[in-house]
Order: sequence, then structure tokens, then C-alpha cells
Amino acid sequence: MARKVLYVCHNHPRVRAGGAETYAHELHLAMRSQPVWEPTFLAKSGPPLSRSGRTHEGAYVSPVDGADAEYFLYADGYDFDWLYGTMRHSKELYTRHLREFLLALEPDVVHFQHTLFIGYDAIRETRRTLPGVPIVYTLHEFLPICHNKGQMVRTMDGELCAEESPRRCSECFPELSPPTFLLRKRFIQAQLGLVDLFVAPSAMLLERFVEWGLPRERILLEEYGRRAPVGGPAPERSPPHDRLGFFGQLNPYKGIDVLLAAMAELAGDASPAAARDRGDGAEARLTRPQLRVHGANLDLQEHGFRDRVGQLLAQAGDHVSSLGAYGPKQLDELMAAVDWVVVPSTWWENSPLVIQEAFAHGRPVICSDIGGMAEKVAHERNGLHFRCGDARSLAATIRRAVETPGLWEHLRAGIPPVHSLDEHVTVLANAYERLIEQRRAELAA
Amino acid sequence: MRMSLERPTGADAAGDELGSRSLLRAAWLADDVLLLACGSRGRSAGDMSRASAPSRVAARALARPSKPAAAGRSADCVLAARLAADALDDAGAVLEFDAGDERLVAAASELDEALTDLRTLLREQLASWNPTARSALLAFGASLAAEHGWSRSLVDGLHRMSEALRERLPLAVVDERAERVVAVERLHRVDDHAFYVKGWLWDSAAAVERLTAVSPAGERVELLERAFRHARSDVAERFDIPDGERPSDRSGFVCHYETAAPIRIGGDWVFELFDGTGRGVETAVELTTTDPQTATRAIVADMTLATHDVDALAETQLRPALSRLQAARRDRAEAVASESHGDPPRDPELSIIVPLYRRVDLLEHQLVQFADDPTLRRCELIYVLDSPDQHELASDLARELARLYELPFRLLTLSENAGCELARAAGAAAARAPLLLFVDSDVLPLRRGWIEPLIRFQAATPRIGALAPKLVYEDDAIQHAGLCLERAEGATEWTQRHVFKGLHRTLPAANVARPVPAVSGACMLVDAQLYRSTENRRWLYVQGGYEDSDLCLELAAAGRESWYLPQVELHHLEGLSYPVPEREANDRYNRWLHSRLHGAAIEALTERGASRPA
Repeated sequence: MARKVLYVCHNHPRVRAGGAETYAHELHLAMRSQPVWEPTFLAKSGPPLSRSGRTHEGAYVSPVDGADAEYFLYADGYDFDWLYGTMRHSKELYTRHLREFLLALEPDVVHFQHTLFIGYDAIRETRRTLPGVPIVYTLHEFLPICHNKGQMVRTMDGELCAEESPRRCSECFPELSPPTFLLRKRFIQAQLGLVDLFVAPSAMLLERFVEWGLPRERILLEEYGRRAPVGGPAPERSPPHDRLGFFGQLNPYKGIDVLLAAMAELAGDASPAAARDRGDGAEARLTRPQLRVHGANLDLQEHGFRDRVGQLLAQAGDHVSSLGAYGPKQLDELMAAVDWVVVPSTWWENSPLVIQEAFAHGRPVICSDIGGMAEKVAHERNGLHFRCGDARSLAATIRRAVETPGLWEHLRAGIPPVHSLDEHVTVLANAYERLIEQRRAELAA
Repeated sequence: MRMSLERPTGADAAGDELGSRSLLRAAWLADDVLLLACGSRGRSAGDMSRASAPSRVAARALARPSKPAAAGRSADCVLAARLAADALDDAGAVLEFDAGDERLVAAASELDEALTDLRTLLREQLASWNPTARSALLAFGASLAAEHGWSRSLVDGLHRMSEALRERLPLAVVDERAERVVAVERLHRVDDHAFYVKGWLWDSAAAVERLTAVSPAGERVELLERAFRHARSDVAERFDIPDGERPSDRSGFVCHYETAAPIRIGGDWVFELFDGTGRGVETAVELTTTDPQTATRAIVADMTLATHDVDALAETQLRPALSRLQAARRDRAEAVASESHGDPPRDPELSIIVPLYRRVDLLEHQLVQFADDPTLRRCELIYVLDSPDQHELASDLARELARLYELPFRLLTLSENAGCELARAAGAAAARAPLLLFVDSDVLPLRRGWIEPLIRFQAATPRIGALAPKLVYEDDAIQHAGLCLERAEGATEWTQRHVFKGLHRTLPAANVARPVPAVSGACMLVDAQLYRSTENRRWLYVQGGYEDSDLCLELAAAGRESWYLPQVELHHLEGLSYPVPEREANDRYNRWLHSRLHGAAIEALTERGASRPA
């Protein structure tokens, strides 16, 4: 018997290829090849992520570039409240437009990948319109907990935050009072209270949400499943293993400035003067770490950050090449050109897709020693940790990685298999079935 | 034509021996009151040969006390009579104005010819009367209103009469060199008959003997005896009062006073200051404002003027003024719109009443918490919008939320901002259930099933008055665990204190259900019939506090005990629901009023040990 699952996401990767939406879309496509499940993908479009908004009079959904099972959901004219994660005042986006879509589609399961730009009320509307349908919600970051872009990093000093409270949140946003943050928490938790199953890709994230108040028994720890690289893993590279790769947005949270500062320090190492100081004799170091930066959106950052990055790039000289943005299809090639993948994020991270991609290509990972990164990369086994935010520590780690013979090979051998998309789909499909039964039983009672 | 056919008393029953006055001028004082300026008595009525028999018109008269030789053509006597505007149309008619010891007989045509505008009559005929006589004229004018009623046109006419005839004093000049000064800083309209003035006076020549308010309609009210006097350091400074004399300085004054005439017209009030030398000064002011809310705020703020003599000030000046203002507010406030969403239970067990003021968004936050609680389906939920300018916004939002949450509720809108207490009362008036639960808009239940224990406890506790749960802040500190009433050593006023405020919600002493002298109205359960049976003087308090305590004390007087039930906990994000910047000033007055009304009862409670936390 065919079953329908609706995936709801805040964005479509064809509009802007962020991590969560890329994964969500891959999942949707993988579900399509499952015999039982007929997935539909509903992605919020229009501003702010896309310049083009709604075009058809009276229609708030439209097919994505003609696809028959992928839709854009438009919220043109609605005012999204970032603090509470809801539409202000007019709720017709939910009570009319989303409702109509749900009634037309009649899914058996609704799986929210994100409610950003849509609003937590979408969960409530789903429960109201389709009371018998279980609701699944994947947690990609800490947005329900943290108003600072869901990063749990403090606004005043960039320090990591491990625990929220109305008072602490108000410290980060002084114009918002502690009671306001309590209101936010109560509102979001009340809407999330309708979710039957949460999916957490990392244990770290799961624990944070349990601490925040989600019932542990309702959270499934399940890593993102990834499709294996089309051409298989990238070929093994011969020494020296001195090519580093950064794949990600050029923003402070991703730590590009920490990495560039480390490279600047390492660039100092490679000078003849430094070689003499180290007593290498007249021979300059042959091994010079080189960083290939793949990423974009530097222009979207604050100019203070932009200036700093510019400065560091200058200092790092030709140790660093900026290769600009990349699409998923180019990733395999780009991975082949590096030995190590560096993930220097200064926020906790959940389960960075880039780590899985690196592992899929047999590339050990050098990453910050916190959060989801430290969970997914085992120090000295399939990668190396450095002190989060500390450029010196990163420089030392890179130096060691590059100069220690056999280390790369040893770490590469320790890379675990990447959770496959097929396995992932199976786990989720089983969960969906279970939930349908569960919901049926609940309603009968 | 309206005429009186009765013979005035005191007249010579034989009729015609009193000579008729001669008619000099006539003018309409009001739409239906004719003023006649008359000269010497002359021919008797019988002397005149008339075309028709005179119709008698009842009149009032004022004779000029004495007339100086050089007074010329000005009037000796003034008559006034109620007359329809068309009374003079019949040219042949003859009217006999009968004021007892004064008479005027005149043909309608004569009257018509003598008719002029009021200003001319006043100027020409009466302005030359001496000051005392003119004063008598103004009093005469006021007495007409007492007899004929205060129509707008009469008050207007009296205003013009006052303008023309009032003896003017030198204008007070605020200057250190002045011998005497009177200054008015604020003049508020309390209602049509009551006013409140704040100002100061200074007299270096002699003791002040008279401080008089003169209304735009010419009515005079003596203020000196009734005003509250207080020190004014700025006046003392300006006029260089020696330090030694400053403690006894009483140059400031506030006064609540009433007028016989309803003052509905604009125009200046004049305040006259007279001292023992017989000299005086005056100052003229317009009403500072007619807006009752501004007046209330300003008057309440004057509580600070009293240092040791609070009772004198509050009882004689503030309370009468504020009581009138609050009563008017109470009378004006009513629900002018009512919208119902969804199907409420046919026989609700409980009516939940929530006032909404400005923070209309709190409606959404509460509904989110209520929607998932099955107990709410047994209740009637009533929101009362106390900021009616947001009616459209609230109404739209309510409709949207009703659809999304599918929880039935009503939204009432008040006619004006009436304050939390009146909003609750309006909600209670519309409620159908036998139990009322007042909930502030910034109160959110901590968990589901919070209502059931309250209802059960209510039912199981004999002679229960009000019942309230524990309220906590966003950081788990106690916001409310019952109120106690205390009085500092040597103080006269009782203050209300939230016990255990700020301590952690798990504090053992705060987790014992117990009877308390009062509970907070932020979340309060009370039997509907009991509530409606209260005399209800809560509207006397100026928005902000002590109404809760007032209710509980009134219930206590009726043999009821109020209880605190800590098993039920809710968040109270205090201050979001009714942010009132004037809270402190209001508190001072409310506290005084509360002690005034309940002081004795609280003392009795205290003696029984009932006012301390157990």
C-alpha cells in the first residue's frame, strides 16, 4: 500500500544550497526510489532567500521548476517573527494555504525538516487539519533553544553557550527582557509538544534538547544518511600530505578566520629565516601546507570580519588559494585535490555534512574539539582535534599532521563507513510505520 | 407663548397699586429668559389704556440699592422672566411682568422696540452700578439658573454678564517686588460641578482673607477655608522667606471645590486674592485639561505634597476629586463590542476572565498554553480589551487564532480604557459560569490540568472567599504566595506585601496551603454569586493596586476566608500586562485609601494573628 510522506523545509537547494536543505532534498529523492513511500517536498520560497516571489494569483504553492512532487510555499505578504518563530498577526498562511495543501495531498506522515521562515504554527495546523497523521521533526541546529541564529554562541564575545536561561538570553539580547525569552520558550515548546518524533543527527544535539525540555523518549538519534560518491571515493594520495581543504561558508561561525590565521602563522614557518632558526640548515622546508578554500558569501558578512579575512589572506600569501563557491557535483573532484579537510567551526555544529563527505572520500578531518565535530571525528583515530577558536593550536595541529610520516595513512585507515542514504531511508521508513500505528492507537483511546 | 397666570405672593391682591416700572431696555439673557432693564416707577397699571388685557408673566427682580445723582439713564431695576422666544411676535399683546414688589407692564411692540443685544444692555444700563451692586447682579443671575435650570444658553448669557459686570482687580504679577500674588498652575475639570486647582499665593502686606474662584458663568466659590495649604520651597526662595519662617510656610494650595452651576462652557476662571488691607489681585486661567485621565494622573501625583498631614490632604481634596473621576470612569465603561469564536460549553463550570491592555500579542501566548489542556473545554474564556483603539487589531488576531487553536473564546471591547479592575468587572458581568477565575494576560499555566485542583479545593473548603495559586517569575522565583498586610512602627497606613517574593518556588514554607488575608488578582478564583454580592468599591482605587486586597477584606468582613494553594503553579511575567508608569504615585494614594476604608478591619485581623503568613 502506497504511503505518502510530506517533507517541509525552509528552503530548496535549487534556490540556495545550504546544508540542511541539501540533505533534506537528497532524502526526498531517496524516498522516491523506495517502493512504498511517495514523498512530496515542500520548500518555503520567496524572500528572504529568493528574490522571486509568488507569481500565480491566489496560489500560495507552485511546483518547483515543473517537478511533480516538489513545491514552493510562498509567504509573500506575511511577516515572519524571528523571535518566536511564527507569522505575526495573520495566520492564514497556516489556516488557509497550508491547510488547503495538506487536505489536497493527504499525506500519511508529515516530516518537518525546518520551520524557519514558515513558523512553528505549521506543526499546529498540521495536527489540526490531519489529526491522525504523525508529525516528525528533524533538529538541525539549536534554533528552538537559541535566538542567536540557533548557534548557542554568545553575542557579546563569541563565547560558546552550553545552557540557556531567560536571564542569559536577555544578556545576549539586552533589548529583549528575560520574561520575553520565557514567552518564546513556552510558545515554541507548546508547538513542538505536538511532534511525535524528533530526529537528532548527533548525540550532542540530542542531549542539549533533552536538557532544554524535550522528552528523551521522543527523540531518535539518527545520523544523516549520505549517498556514496558517484565515482567512488577519491583516490589515495601519496605523500607529502600537505594539502588542506576548507569547504563551507566564509562566515565567523565556520571559523575561516581561525584557519587563515593558522595559515598565516604557518606561512611564517616556511621562510628561509625560520628554517634557519629551526636548524634545518640551508634547506628550506619542502613541505609547505597549502590551503584550498572552497566557499562563498564573504560579501554577506560584516565589514569588520571581511577586513580581517582580507588581511589574513594577504599574510598567508600563496599558501592559500580561494577557489570560490562550489556545487555538489564538483565536490568529488575537489575532495580529490586535498589530503585533509579542515572544519574549524567556532560554534558547536551538529553533524557537519562536510565531515561525512570528507570521510566518504577517505579524507581525515582536522576539526575543533567541541560539539558535533568532536563527536563525529575521533581524535587520533580518523582525524585530529584542535582547541576551538585557537589559531596557534590549529597551526600546531596542521604542522603535526603534515610533518608526521604515516599519520595521514593511519587516520585514513580509521575512517568509519559513512551512514548510507539507503540505510537512513530504511530507518526513517520503519519509524514512519511505527508512528502511524502509534497515532492510530492514541486516537482510538 | 408660555405665561404664568398665578398671582405672585406678597403682591397687593387688589392688584394695581404698585406702579409699573418704565422699560428702558430688553435683551435675551438666554433662549428663553428675557432680561429687562427698568427705570423709575411711574404710572400704575390702571393708568394705561391698552388694547388687550395684560397677560401675567412671573418674574424675578433686583432693584438697584442706591443710585448716584449722576448715574444718568442707567437702570434702577432689573427684571428677569422665563418667556418663549416668540412671545413678542404678537404686537398687540400686553405683558405684565410680576415679581412681587416689582412690576413692569409693557406691550409686546414696546418690548420689541426696546430689544437690543445683551452686551449693549449690560454696558449701557448696568455697567455703571457700583461693585457691590454689580456683585448682587451676578448673584441674581446665578439665582435665575437655580430656578430655571442650567440651559447652555443661560450659562452662556451669565458668562457674558459676568464678563461685562465683574469688578476687576489688578492682575497678579509674579514678581518678587509685588505686594501680593496669586498664581494658578493647574486647573482640572473633575466633572460638570467639580474642579481641582493647584497654585500658590503670597502676601507681604497683610494676612490673606479671601481666595475666591469665579467661574466663567460668574459663580463665586470661596476657597480659603477649604483649600489644603502646603510649603512651597520655590516660592519661599523667590520671595526670600527667612529660613526660620520656612517650616510654617503655606504658600502652596490645592483645592477641590464644587459649583452650583454646571460648567460646560469654556472660558477663563478667575481667582481672586484679598488680604486684610482690603486690596486684592486676580489671575485668569483656562482649564489645564478636560481629559479625565490627565486630571486623574495629576491629582494623584499631588499625594506627595503632604508630609505629615496626609489625611487632611487626601480626605478633603484628593479623595472627593478622584472618587468623582473614578465614578465617572466606572459609569462610562461598558463593553461596546462582543465577538464570540467557536462554540463555548453550554454549561461552563468556570468563566476565565482576562483583561487585555496594549499587549494584545499575549492573547496568542495564552491560547497556545490553553489549547492543549482538555479542562479548558469545560470553561468559558472571556477576553476583555481595555485598549479599544486596538479593537481592529485584536479582533483580527482573535479570529485568526480561533481558527488555528480551535478553542472557543469571547472578546469584549470596552468603550474606553477603564483600568484592570473595571475590565474584570465587565468580564464578570458577561460571565455565565458559577465560578469566576480572573487571570492577568501575562500569566501562563506551567502545566496542564491546573484548573481542576483549584475547582476541587474551592468546592471542598467551607466559607472560602478568594482562592489563588502560586505564581512564579521566569527564573523560578516566587512572584506570589499570598499577601500579607503590615504596618510599620508608628505608621498609620497598612501596606500589602507579597510574602516570599523572590525566593525559590520550592521553598517549603511557600508550599503549604493556608488561609491568607488577601491574594493577588493576577490569578484569582471566586464564586460568581459571592463576587456579585460584594458592595464593590474597588473602582475607587486608581489603577494599579489594592483592589485585590479590598475584595478579600470585603469578603472577610462577610465571614469568608481567602486561601493560597501552592499545588497549582503558573508563570506570572509581572508587569507585562498593565505597564503603568504612574504606578508609584497611584500606589501612594491607593494605599492611603485602602487603609482608610479597611484600617479598622485589618487591625482586628492582625490581632487574631490572621494577617501574618502562617
